Amino acid sequence: MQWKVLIGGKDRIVDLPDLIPDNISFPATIDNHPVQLRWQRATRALFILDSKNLDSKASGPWASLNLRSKTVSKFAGESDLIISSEYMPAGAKFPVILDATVALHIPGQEAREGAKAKKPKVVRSQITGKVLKVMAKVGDTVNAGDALMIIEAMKMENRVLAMAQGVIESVKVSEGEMVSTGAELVRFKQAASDTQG
Amino acid sequence: MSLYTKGQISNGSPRRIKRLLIANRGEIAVRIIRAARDLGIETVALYSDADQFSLHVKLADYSVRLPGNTPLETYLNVPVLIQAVKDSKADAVHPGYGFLSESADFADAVASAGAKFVGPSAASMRTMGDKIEAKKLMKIHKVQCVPGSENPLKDVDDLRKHAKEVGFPMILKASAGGGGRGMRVVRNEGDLAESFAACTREAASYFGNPAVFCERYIENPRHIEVQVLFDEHGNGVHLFERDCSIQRRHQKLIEEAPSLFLNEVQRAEIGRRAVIAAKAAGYSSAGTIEFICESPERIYFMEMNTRIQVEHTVSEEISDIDLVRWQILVACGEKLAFKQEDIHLRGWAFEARINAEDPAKGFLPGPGRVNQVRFPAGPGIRVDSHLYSGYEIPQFYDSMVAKLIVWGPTRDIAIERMLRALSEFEIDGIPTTAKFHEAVLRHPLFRAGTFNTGFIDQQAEYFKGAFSAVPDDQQTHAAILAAVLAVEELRRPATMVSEVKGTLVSNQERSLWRDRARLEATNRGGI
Repeated sequence: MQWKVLIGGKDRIVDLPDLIPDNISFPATIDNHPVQLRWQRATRALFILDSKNLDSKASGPWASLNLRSKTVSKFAGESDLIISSEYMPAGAKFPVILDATVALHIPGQEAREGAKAKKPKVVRSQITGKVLKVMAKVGDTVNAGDALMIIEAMKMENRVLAMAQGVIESVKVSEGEMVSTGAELVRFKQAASDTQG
Repeated sequence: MSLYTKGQISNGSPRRIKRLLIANRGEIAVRIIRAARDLGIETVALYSDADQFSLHVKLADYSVRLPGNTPLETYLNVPVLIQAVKDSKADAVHPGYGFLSESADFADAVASAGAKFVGPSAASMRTMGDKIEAKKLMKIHKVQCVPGSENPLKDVDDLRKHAKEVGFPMILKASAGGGGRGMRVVRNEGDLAESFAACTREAASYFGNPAVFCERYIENPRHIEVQVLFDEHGNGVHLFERDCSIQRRHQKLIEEAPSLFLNEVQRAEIGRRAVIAAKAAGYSSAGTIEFICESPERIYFMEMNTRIQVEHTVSEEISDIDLVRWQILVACGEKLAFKQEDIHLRGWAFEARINAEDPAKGFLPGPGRVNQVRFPAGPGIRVDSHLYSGYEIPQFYDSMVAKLIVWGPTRDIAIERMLRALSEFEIDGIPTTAKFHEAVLRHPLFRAGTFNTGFIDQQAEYFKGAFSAVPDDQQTHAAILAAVLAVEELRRPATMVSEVKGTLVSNQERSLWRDRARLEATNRGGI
C-alpha cells in the first residue's frame, strides 16, 4: 500500500505492507529508496535499517524512533489522517515534534481531482465540547480571523475562527448543543478555509 | 522513625473514622483513597455518568452514582452528595480540592448529616474566605498585607481617597472573590469610576456580595505560599514554602519547594508568619497561606486556601510528612506527632501538571481516549494520576490528567530528574503539556531561578520556537514513522465510547478493510 505523507511542505511516498508485523523486520520504501523496518508495537518504537543513510541524524545502521505521544484526527467524509506526535530519535536529548498529513496514494489521482469543481468549504470542530455561543449568521460575510462561535471543553472557552474571507451558507449547530471532533459547524458559499483559535 | 510513617489512629482516638466518602474525582480522589487505605479506613467513591469507568471508582471499597455529567448536577450538587453520605453510612467526608472544598455551607451540611468534614471548621473557612475579614485579622496579628483599603469601599469618593495613599496601578477585588474572577487592575485616575462600577456589579452577580476593596497592584510578583498543618488542639507547624510562579493565565504549571527566592532567615520568617496567620483563624487540618512577593524583603499576605492543594505533593517530598494522612488523623482528633523543630527541609522537589492540552496549538484541550500510557519510574519519581491505558477522558471537567513529582538532593539534580521523567512519560491518544514543561525546564532563566508570574508571557517567543517541526535532515525517517502510525491507526480494533448528546454511543467496530475501501472510494470521488 502506498501512502502520501505531507511533511515540512513536501510530499513523500512511503510504500508499506498492508499489515505491519509486530517486532519482525520487513522491507519498505520511501521515494523508491529501500529501507528495512521493525515496529515494536508494545513499546511503540520504530527501528529503521537504512543503508543509504537517508537521514543525517541516524547513527549506526539501525536508527530507533521512540514514540512519546501521538494523536490522530480523521474527519468524517475526509480521507486524510492528521498525525501529531512526539518521538525521541536514538541518541537525542529532546523529542522531535512531528506533524504530518497521511493519505492513501493512488497514482494519477491528483490529475482527476484537479478536474473536479471545488467543493464548498466546511468548518469542522477540532474538539469535542459544548457550543456556548454562535456568532456566525447565514448570509454574513466574514473576514479571516473573525470568530464564528465559541466551544467549551474542559472548562475552557475556545473560539472557532475563520481562516479566510467568505459568505456563510449555513450554520449547522445551535447554542447549547454538544459537538464531537470533526462535526460540521459552518459551511461557506465560497472558498474559505477553517481552523480553530 | 521517619516523620512520613509517624502518626497512627490510636485506640483511644476521640473520633475514629471507619468509612470515608470522597466528594471529588480524578487524581485527588485516588490520592485520598490511597491515604485512607494506608490507615485501614474504608472508602466511598462518587462518580458522575461520564466518570463511571474512572480509576477512583475501581480503587474505592464502595461507590455511589451521581446522575448527570455537569459539575452542577454532580460534584457540586449538595443535596445529592449529602444523600450519598447517608446512604453509604460514611462517617467522614473528604472534599479534595476545587468543587465544594472551600464551601463552609457544605461543611455545615456534612456535619448536620452526622459525618465529620475532613478540613477546618466552617467558622475558620468563613473568616478566611472573606478577603476583607481575613486582611483585618492579619492586621491585628501584625502579618503584613498589601497596602490598600481596610474596609469595603463605600463609593467612588471613598476609592479616590484611598487611591491617594495606594497609588497606581491598583487592583480592585471582590471581597468574596477568588479564582481570578472579580478583579480589575486600574492604571490611572480617569478609569476609577468605571472600574469601580464594573467590579461592584461583577462581585454582586458572581459572588452575591457587592463588597469591593482596593490594593496596590504588584506587577509580575513572585507567587510563594506556605503549607501549614494544624491539629484540633492548637498545635501547628509549617512545612516550608512552595514557589508557584510558573503560571499561564493564573493556572499554575510547575511548582517547586523550597523557593530559590528566599534565604534561610527569610524562609524561617515567612513560615513563622504563616503559622501566626493560621492560628489567628483558629485553623485545623492542612491549609496554605499565599504570599505575594515583590522582593525577598517585601512579602505580603494575600489569602488563605482552606483545603489541600494540587501542589501539596512537593511539600510532602521535602518534609517527609504525608499531608493527606495527617488531614485524616487530625479529623480523628489525633494530636500532631511532631513539633516545628522535628521537621527538616531535605532536598528539592518539583511538580509538573500534565494537562490534556496541546501547547503547540494554543493549549487547545483534547479530551479523548488514552490508547496507551506509560509512567516514568525510578529514584526520586512519583506519579499521582488517574490515567490508565484505555481510559476515556471526559470533556466536562478539569484537563489535568497527571502530576509528575520528582525529588532530588539539590535543585539541579531534581531538574535533571524531571527531564528524565518527562522523557520516559509516554502517552498515545491525547495531546499533553509534557513538551511544554520540558521547554520550561530547559530555559536558562528557569534554571537560574530568576523568574516571576509573567515568565510564560515574557518568553512567548522562546516557547514558539520550542515546538518547531521536524528538522529538514530528519524528515525521511519522520515520514516513514508517520506512514507506520497511519497504518497502525487503521488497524486499531478498539471500540471508542464517546459521550454525545447525553447518551453513551459506542462507535462501530473499526475495520481496516472497510476503512480502506472507503478511503479508496473517497479518493476516487465515489462517496
